[in-house]
Amino acid sequence: MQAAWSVAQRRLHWAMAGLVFVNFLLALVMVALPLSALLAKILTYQLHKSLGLLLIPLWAWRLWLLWRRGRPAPVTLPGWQQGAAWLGQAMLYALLIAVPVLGFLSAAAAPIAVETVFFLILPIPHPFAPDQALYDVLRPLHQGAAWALVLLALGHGAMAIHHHRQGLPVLRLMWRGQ
Amino acid sequence: MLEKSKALPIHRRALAGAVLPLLGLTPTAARAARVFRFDQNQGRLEFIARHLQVLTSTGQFSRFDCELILDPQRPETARVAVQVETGSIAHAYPGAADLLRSPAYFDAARWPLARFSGSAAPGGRIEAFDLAGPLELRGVTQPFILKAQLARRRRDPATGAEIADCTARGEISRTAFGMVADMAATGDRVQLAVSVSLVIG
Repeated sequence: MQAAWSVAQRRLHWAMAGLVFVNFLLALVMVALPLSALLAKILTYQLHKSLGLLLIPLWAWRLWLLWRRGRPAPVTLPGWQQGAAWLGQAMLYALLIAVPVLGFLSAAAAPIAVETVFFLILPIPHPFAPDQALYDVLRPLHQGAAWALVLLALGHGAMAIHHHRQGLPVLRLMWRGQ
Repeated sequence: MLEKSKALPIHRRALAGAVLPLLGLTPTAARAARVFRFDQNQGRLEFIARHLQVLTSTGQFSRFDCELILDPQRPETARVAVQVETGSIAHAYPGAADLLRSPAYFDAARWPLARFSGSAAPGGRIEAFDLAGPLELRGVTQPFILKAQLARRRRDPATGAEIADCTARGEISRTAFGMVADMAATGDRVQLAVSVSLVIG
């Protein structure tokens, strides 16, 4: 167990948090854009897919760092809060991989059959052909998981601020590393 | 009862009276040529557009009629006539069909039909032959070439009949037909593709 989060761990934490929120807002915008704004719609969809795919290697890197470097000792909290924090973080890690993977699979199953091209440069092959029945399952799963991820992340942030106001160093440890 | 997925030849007697003389087929060719009529129930007519040079989207016409006159031994005598209801556009993306029916694209209210009639050029093989002729779309007529082929010839195990997959593809410049909307997002070249299974023997 290390004394503080490493620089890479802290940067990854904030980068992924930023990506999740930006991509969530992008999803709301891309769906709301009318077809008369076709160029903006296509660009926002592709950017949403690209940022989502970017989360997958970042998630793997973060997990690898956690395994290799560990984490600082947990701050002193009542037992139930420790348990809730552990459960919340485990769910965050699970959703951070589930949301982009479900998104990619729903893009593959989508009957519109538009390719996924990473930042409009690198084509990412879809693992299966479009399938309306599968899409009808995957799309709401992706959406539901994305809402759960954002709400859970907001709750996670709110608790960090709450503990910070109580004088506990959880936010400072992730922000400045000490 | 005809098998729904395959277009069958019309009986030769039906040809003798009217269709073949109009098409100018020689008696020899007339004996071997077959007329295949199919629509959206047996075949598929799609259009494929490119976006930002790297993406494609596909839509289809859900009402069309096609008549193909083809002698598999002499593809250079082939003829085709296609009529498409432009208002029958179907697209998987919600709202896209309405946009494509609008005056900015197919203008289906004003120009409800698109037509193509083509005939084969000499020198074609059954694996790859061209059908060239005028395409009328949005009140504009432009030369158009469908590159056709008859592939995967096989015996239907149930009926013993010889079947082949017929596909034909061609490319139009949408601006040549007055479709100039969303040029930044959608390329000028749009592919048209027809596919059907034919009972050829």
